[in-house]
Amino acid sequence: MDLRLLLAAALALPALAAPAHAQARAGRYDVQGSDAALGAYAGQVELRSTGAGAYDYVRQVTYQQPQGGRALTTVWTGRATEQGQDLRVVVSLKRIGWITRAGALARTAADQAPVAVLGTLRPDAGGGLSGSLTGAGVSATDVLRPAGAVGAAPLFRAERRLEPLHGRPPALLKTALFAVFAGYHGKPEVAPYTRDLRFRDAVHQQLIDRTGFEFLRARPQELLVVDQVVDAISLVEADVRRSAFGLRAHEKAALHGQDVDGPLRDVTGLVAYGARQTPSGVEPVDDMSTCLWSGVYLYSQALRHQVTREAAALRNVEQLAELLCDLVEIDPRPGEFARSLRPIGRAPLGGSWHAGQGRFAHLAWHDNGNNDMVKGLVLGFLGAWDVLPPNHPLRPRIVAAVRDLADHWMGSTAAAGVASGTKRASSGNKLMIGMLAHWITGDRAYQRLWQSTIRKPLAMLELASGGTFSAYGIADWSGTHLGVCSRIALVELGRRLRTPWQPLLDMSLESGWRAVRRYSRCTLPWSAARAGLLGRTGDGAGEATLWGLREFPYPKPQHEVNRRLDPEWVASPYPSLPWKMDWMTNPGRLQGLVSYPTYMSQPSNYVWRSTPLDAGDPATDLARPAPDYLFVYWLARKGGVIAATE
Amino acid sequence: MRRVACTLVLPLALLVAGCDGGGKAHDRAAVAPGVLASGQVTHQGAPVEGAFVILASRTTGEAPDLPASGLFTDAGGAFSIHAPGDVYDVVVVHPDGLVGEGTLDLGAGPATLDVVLREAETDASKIGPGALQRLLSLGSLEADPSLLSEED
Repeated sequence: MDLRLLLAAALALPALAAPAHAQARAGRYDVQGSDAALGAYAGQVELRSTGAGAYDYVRQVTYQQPQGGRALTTVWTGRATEQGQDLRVVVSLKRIGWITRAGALARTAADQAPVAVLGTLRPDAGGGLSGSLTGAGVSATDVLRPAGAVGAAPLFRAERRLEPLHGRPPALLKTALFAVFAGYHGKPEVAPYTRDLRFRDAVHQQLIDRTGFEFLRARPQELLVVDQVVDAISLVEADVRRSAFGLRAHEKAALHGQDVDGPLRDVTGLVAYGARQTPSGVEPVDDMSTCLWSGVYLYSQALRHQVTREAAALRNVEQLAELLCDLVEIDPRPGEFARSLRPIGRAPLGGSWHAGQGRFAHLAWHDNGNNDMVKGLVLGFLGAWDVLPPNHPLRPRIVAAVRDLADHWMGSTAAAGVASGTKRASSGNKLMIGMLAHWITGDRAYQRLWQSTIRKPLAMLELASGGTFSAYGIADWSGTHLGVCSRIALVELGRRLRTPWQPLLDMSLESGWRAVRRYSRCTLPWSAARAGLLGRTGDGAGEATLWGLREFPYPKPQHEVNRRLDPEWVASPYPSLPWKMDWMTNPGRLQGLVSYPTYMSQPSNYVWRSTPLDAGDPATDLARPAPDYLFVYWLARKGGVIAATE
Repeated sequence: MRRVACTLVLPLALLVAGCDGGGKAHDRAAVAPGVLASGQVTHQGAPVEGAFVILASRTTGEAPDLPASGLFTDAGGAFSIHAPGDVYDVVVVHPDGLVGEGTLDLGAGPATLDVVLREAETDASKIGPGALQRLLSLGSLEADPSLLSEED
């Protein structure tokens, strides 16, 4: 053969081979190696061709050395490209997740830039690829061996997306709101964001981040860090995510239940605000709004008892129903009730705290059982009346307490000189209390009162429209919880009274859910109630309930979350609760444009009362109870929205 | 039917909730069959099922004592009510955040009212100075919206 022909053929070979070679590296590989900080590991690498010698790169490795007693797996996702025989890998690892301080380590602005990890993998004598991957503070040496073709689904896929919480605000409205809040936009903590297009658009969003759910469900005791540098903080975040996704809903219900029935119950028996560990033991902290949380918790335990018949649930109902009666009886003024109790010697009396008299002499009580707290009494007494045995000695006390409320809340204003709430006479309160009194006493006078109330045009309007609202990221977050408590009580009581008004009561729950449902980190009880009580799981109510429970961690994290350190975070153009008129002086009114999943926050003592658009919270030494989780969990279980095995 | 995130009627309802309409609570006996009021509720040309029809008497400021079941529209968007002869402001609400209003004059005999629902969030002017504002004028308003929580 002519030498020139041979040369030409040799030169042509790479070009002829190029199309096949472009995918030559595609496939799955077993990988082993060593990380400079984390030690030896093994796992898999996937190269999925995107054409022209480029690949989607996924590397999932598990380290031999556990972290805090748990196996650690890291996932890197990036791009790989062929360069001759080599493969160039590029991965970007974040430093900042959501927790900004853990132990001695704190995030700073310097952590905002991601770490670029670069690597070159080269064909080796073993028939695979090997090489190093390095970046600032990251160094690993990989040895890859072919392990077959890629599957239909990627080795790992991050599931993270943003969904809008509402439509674009009308231009006129936005202009008006921006004018109202012009001074707020000039505040130092807000001003840096005012040029951001997301700020200017003023469309709030919800972060859906279910990354690692399948992995953690399969390996609930392990830690998973995805596209992030491993350090003390990201390991804590991994553990929080593990508890949220790895533990099943019923496991979290059992754990939260043990806590709220144990160290997070105050010595009074009411649900505590939290508890701190001291050298002498666990020290509970009283909650000035425990009437509401304890009443809701009682209701959840009544649901639990109806589902499981567990004696412990009935004991909770008995104990808490007695305490709700105490709250009504300890305030000597007719129609007034206490919103909290604490041991008499825990703190000085004065202000809203008063010494109990007679059999309550060992207690101090907090006055101002108001429009908010009364929802706890109604739901609590409703639950107790459902499950207490017929001749239970608490029943006469409950009747007396409810009559006291009904007689004074339905036809009169608050007692003179005390701040029992200017809103006690709202139609919603009158309806709830009147229906409860009618149901448990059979007294037709109460029937006439609530039926008169429901026939008011404005009461009808409030019911039909759902009685709650959200407007372009502005909502009364605590009010959404009060609203759903009212709607649950109305729907439940309507059924027990077999009222022809039931369709309107059901409509009220439906309308309220439609108004606020998208803010599900805060408004999950609406979805659970709509799905559980009305049997309407469609339009996302069932899914929202399921995922809301899945995103709820155990225990409630106590770490600092400062979202302003996250380079992706942007302030909302509107302060929270603007009707408080303190946005220029109260730094707590700062809120963000994005609602994060519950596990990516520092949950308050009661999540459903708190803004889902928070800008973060400082670390706390308080362990916090979760009557919020148990409320939604048992609503969902009772209504068949989730299975007992979930 | 398009969903809406919120309605203007909701904040308005917040502003008035808690008002008891100014009338004294009393036990009303069931009313006689009365005068036929009927009509149809539509949105974007389609009938709306499950909308709730609120009647407010211009004489008493109160809703007539009617069976609750008659206050919801049927699959064809129709409602049919026998109410005492009177003039009524009418507000129709649907859970999808739709609202409409009108007037029914039953003083001279049966009357019909067709109500077109609107997405109330889109334009405050669409609510208009109609029946809703008539409702708002009833009774004594509290200083604060009664449904707002008193806590932060």
